[in-house]
Amino acid sequence: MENDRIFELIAKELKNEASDFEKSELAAWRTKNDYNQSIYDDAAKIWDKYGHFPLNHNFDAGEAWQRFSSALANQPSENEQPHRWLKIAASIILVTVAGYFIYSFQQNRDQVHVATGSSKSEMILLVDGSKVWLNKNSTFEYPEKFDADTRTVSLDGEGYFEVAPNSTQPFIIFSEGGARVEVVGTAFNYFTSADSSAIVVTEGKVAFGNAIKNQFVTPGLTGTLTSDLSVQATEDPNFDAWKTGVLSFNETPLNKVISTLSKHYDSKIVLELESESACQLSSHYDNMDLNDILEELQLLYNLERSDSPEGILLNGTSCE
Amino acid sequence: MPTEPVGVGRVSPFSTDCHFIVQAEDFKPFFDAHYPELVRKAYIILKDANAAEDIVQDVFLKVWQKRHDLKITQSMRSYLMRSVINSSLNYLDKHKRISTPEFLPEQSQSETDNQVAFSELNVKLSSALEKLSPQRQTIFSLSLYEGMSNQEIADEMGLAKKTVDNQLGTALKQLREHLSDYIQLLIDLTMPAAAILVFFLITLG
Repeated sequence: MENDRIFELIAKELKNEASDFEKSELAAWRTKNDYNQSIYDDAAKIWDKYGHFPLNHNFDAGEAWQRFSSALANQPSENEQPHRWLKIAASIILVTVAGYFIYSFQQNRDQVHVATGSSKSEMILLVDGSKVWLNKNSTFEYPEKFDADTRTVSLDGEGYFEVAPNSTQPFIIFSEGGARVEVVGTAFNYFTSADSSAIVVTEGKVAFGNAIKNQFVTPGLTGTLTSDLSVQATEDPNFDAWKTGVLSFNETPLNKVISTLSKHYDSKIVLELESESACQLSSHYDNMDLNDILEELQLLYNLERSDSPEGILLNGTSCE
Repeated sequence: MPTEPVGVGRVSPFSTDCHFIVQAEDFKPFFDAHYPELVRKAYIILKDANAAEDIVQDVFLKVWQKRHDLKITQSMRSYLMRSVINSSLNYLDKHKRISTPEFLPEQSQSETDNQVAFSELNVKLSSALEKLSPQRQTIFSLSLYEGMSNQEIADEMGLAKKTVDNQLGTALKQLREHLSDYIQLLIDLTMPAAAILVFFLITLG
């Protein structure tokens, strides 16, 4: 069988990476018949041939630095300042302003870089009419003008996208972790980091994956990419609460409610119950203050609240 | 909330904190420390020296521009490496159909028939490689020309090792398919070329 597994083993053998077990598996396959042996021989020859390409090139690091530093000469310079923070602030403004002008004059280098801090999210309107809500602690890069054939942007963190429909110019989101989203016009919430990415689609259809594999994700589904790609029914109704401010719970276990609140309001809340009974909550909070929500929970479940610098502690007996 | 960076002055070029970089000269040790390895990686992936240099310059320029708000969680080296590999993959994506002449060995002015056939074979080999997806090309090239293990490739590309194992196997399988008509040439060419040369030397001598 010329299956993928065999080629994987052959490649490992050629790289001297095969384990003893893999070696014997491959040897058994090779000796089975002449045809198998010829496949192995072909692969070994291909490997050997490619290995003989002359790929030597001397790069001159000194010359490269010259080129780089003259590119930097076009960047804003920074004067000595008594206060370091002033210097930094001034340079950021200089880089931004000069960057803006450089970008406006260079058609191919018109990337805009947006980074949100830990306190505020942001809405960005792109030239094609697409809207992006950027969650806290996220960075987003987009060109001022899109290329003719694709709308390419990159995200690190979380954002809610409403992509303006245009079937001839796909909208592609890259991320440093290698995840990739491609759509022609839909709405979805997307979180991406170096080691995991998740997409929750609310409208339309999204191609989600990386350079090797991808799958379509449709409304009601969540795509998750770690080392594997999976698509499942969306379980968390509050995936876009950071943007809408609306939290809803439907027979949700109380500890899950508390962890959702902790995350949403960015404050540490600990729940301590005397007996691990199944407390459940069904409720809907529209842009409410955390204290009001906690007050309601205290009444419902007879909880006692104590605040400390470490966070909020809720104490109770059980739900019975 | 922006915080005042600690430690003014020269910091190790391998530091993950870019805030210390104020002037271009501060950037030089950092550039020198990483440039050779990065450009070599880009070149191995792209087989085009100019494109490789452009990509690495761009990556450094981005770091320079973002140096005040860059937050790097991994090491600086792996951050740069991933940026270069991703940019190279994107470049391959965009330039898929453009041939890479530098990939071919230089031809002497007087070519024998065998050398012509040999260069034809090289054209075949490089076009077969270009037919692979950018990611497979990259995995294949890093294996062959950088002698990197599957685990090392997985780490640098941010993939699972199992994915690299599998993709490299698929690359080999597809190369064999693309080259199916030329496998015979792979076997015959170098040997006869040498034999013919020896034959000529003997008969002339």
